[in-house]
Amino acid sequence: MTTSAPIAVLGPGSLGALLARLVALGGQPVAWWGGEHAPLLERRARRRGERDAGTTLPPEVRRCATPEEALGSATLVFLAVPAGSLLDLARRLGERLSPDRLVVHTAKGLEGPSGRRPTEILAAEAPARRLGALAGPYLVAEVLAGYATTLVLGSRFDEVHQAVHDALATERIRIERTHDVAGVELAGAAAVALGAAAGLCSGLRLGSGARAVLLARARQEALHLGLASGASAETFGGPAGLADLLVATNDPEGLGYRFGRRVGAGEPVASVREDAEARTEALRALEGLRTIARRTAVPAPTLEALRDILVAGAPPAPTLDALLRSGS
Amino acid sequence: MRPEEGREVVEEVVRRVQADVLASRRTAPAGALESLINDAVFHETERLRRERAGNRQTQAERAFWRRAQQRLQHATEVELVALLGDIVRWHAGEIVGRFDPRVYRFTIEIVPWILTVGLNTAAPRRMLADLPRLPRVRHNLVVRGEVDLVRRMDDLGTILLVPTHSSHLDSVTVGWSAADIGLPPLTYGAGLNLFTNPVLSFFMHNLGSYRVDRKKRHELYKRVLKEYATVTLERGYDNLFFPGGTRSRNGAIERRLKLGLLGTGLTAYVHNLRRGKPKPNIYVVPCTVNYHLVLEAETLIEDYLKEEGKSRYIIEDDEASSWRKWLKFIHNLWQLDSRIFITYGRPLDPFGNPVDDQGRSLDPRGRAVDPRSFVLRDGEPVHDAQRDAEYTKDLGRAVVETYRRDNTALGTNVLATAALGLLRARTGQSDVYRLLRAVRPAETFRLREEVFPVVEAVLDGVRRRASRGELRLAGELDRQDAATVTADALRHFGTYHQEPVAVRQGPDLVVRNKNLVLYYHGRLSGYGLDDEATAAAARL
Repeated sequence: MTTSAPIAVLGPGSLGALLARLVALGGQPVAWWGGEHAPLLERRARRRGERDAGTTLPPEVRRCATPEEALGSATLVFLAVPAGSLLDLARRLGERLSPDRLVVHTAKGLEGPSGRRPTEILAAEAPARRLGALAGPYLVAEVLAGYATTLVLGSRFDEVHQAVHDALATERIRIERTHDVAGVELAGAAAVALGAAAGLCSGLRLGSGARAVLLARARQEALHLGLASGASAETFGGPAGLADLLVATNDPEGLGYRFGRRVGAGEPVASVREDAEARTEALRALEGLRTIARRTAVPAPTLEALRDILVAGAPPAPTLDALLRSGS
Repeated sequence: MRPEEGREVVEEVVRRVQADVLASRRTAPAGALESLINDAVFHETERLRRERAGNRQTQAERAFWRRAQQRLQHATEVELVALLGDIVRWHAGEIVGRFDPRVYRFTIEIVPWILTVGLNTAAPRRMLADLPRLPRVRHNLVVRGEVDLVRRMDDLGTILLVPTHSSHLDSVTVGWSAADIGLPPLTYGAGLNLFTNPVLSFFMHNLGSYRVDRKKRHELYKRVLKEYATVTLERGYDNLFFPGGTRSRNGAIERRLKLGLLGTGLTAYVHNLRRGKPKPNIYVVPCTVNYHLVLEAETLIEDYLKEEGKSRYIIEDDEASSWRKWLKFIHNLWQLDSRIFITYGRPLDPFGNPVDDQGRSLDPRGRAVDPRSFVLRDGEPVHDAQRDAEYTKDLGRAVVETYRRDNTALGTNVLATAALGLLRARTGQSDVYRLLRAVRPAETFRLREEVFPVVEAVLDGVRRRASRGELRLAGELDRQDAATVTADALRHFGTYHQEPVAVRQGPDLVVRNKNLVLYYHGRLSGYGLDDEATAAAARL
């Protein structure tokens, strides 16, 4: 199914611009809203080597001043905002995210202490029902540079799978499809959270062994949370899970990694959080995973310890020492 | 429906099933049509081989399927399609109901009087004392919930009523309550066994039911049934069916539904839109039925507990098959002044959205949303089997949620939950099968020291949940103390069932029928009350 209606991409920064570019290069009409914080995000993107972010889009991309304008009559809508901003955007758009639209978010993370996944936020705020979660082990700079990339789309609806495939798939970009929405979202949240954990280990100058044990335990706990929430183990072991985790924990320029490294190196959490350029979804993801652990009664001591350090400011070294010695 | 309309409906069902099968052949493996027909022929031939009956109907069936088998051999594509049509026509002809509005009106008026007089012969002194005013059966059926809203929906569209299912009595109580609140006759599938008695069969037909043979398990029959239900909905006939599929074996409220028939509302809705029908909306109305005692409880729970683990899906030789049992049960209700609670839930659209009093679908934030937009593609309403199956799952979840909220806690459920908690604490077993093996034939508990405190804990639990809107209470449970609730429950438990559930002996409560304790506690399972009851019993 190739839609003749325009596709809307709502989202600032490099990811939103990337999606708009890809849709346009595929020959479909696209409207893009870059958000109010475009300059900040473009600075970040340039630092990460995403030189093209938002500045050299194909002329076919129609730039819009507001998300409402971009939405227009689009049947396929990408919400390319972080998990922490999704609620505000969903509330702003409200009933405009109508049931005849296919709505796909790219947020990797959770809402925060509520533990809500992005599709749960959308389901609570908007009438649109055919939702999707786009995730996977991709880096915007690599996609722009033409590297082969796999994205994962989680949606209950085959229509959504087909529409996203038609919009984005190319010879270099492969879209894997799954009905396991919870798995894609929780695995993505875990990857984001563990990116920060990897940075923390780097800042603390932990050895490879200790780092590996910490990350493996945290991943295992996240898997159990996922299973308790109805996700499938296969998703956690695939591109949306393990592969994404490998990218996040080995990307020193990733936001979460850098946050964790600064905390591990001794900066107080509060001061790192005040730095707007350091805002990361990892903290919300850790809060959310803790809530899910308590709700599902799944033991998650490693994730809890990471949350205590990176969110609540517990002393990193003693907290991790105690955790690793406890063997749990 | 009237005979002439019945014929139209049959032909429409034939046309649709044929079209659907032929359309799916494009993606199906070669030989799929032949396989589908062969499956029907095989299952029917086997079923009839096992039938002992040699009546005219069975002979006619045997002849039909023999001819079908002969036609199937060496059939060309064209002949297969024709044979498919004939088989669908045969099944649809078996299913289609007859309906006469005059008989319906007569039945609805006369049945309560028959019941009222009949029941009062059980208590002639009471009847005499109350003359000239005869007690009304209506008093025993408490109909509540969104009654006005449901009535309104019937003016705005077509209703698909989906009640919980505990007993064969449900058809009578729900059907009666629907008529009582002013709904038109409901079309519903009734098991073939209810049509064996010619007098009952006459009334069943003319009350709107159609025949469903649950012994027919092949794919084609199920398709015909679904298509029949869909066509009747499109023609504006309000439908009723039990989405749990069968009576609850353990007394619990339904948590998993059979989505096949539930999805007919959505299919009918899309058809209505495509044809530009003036009132296309289909409204799904969950309805929760609660009894102090259940007619077939003993057989149902025994089936649930069968060691071999496989329960019988169709039970025909239970208490409901005996007229004496029916009468005894109804007498019992009357003498105990027992009430049956029928709660009409908030109507939903085919996508699981609640609707307002103007029949408009509401989104999660309470804003009106156009239900057509769920099924539009390029501006046109279309069917999409995969999409619609997901929507029906959402509807199923919304129906189950409504069942839970509207479930009414009764004294028998409260006492059974307390008793189960006491049994768990005494035996130390939480696993049902181990518990039942550990429990002695007569377990005795001190009423004042053991039973009342745990009943009080359960009452406290149901009241808290009721105040949060998580379930409902029978009115008196709101204010009665543990002793009164226990006494009333024991009045019920001491009657009707072959082995009383529990009896009072002096200062003690004696649990006699552990299976029925499990059954009656089932209605309150899944709310966390089991743990609270066990904890209260453990604290004694």
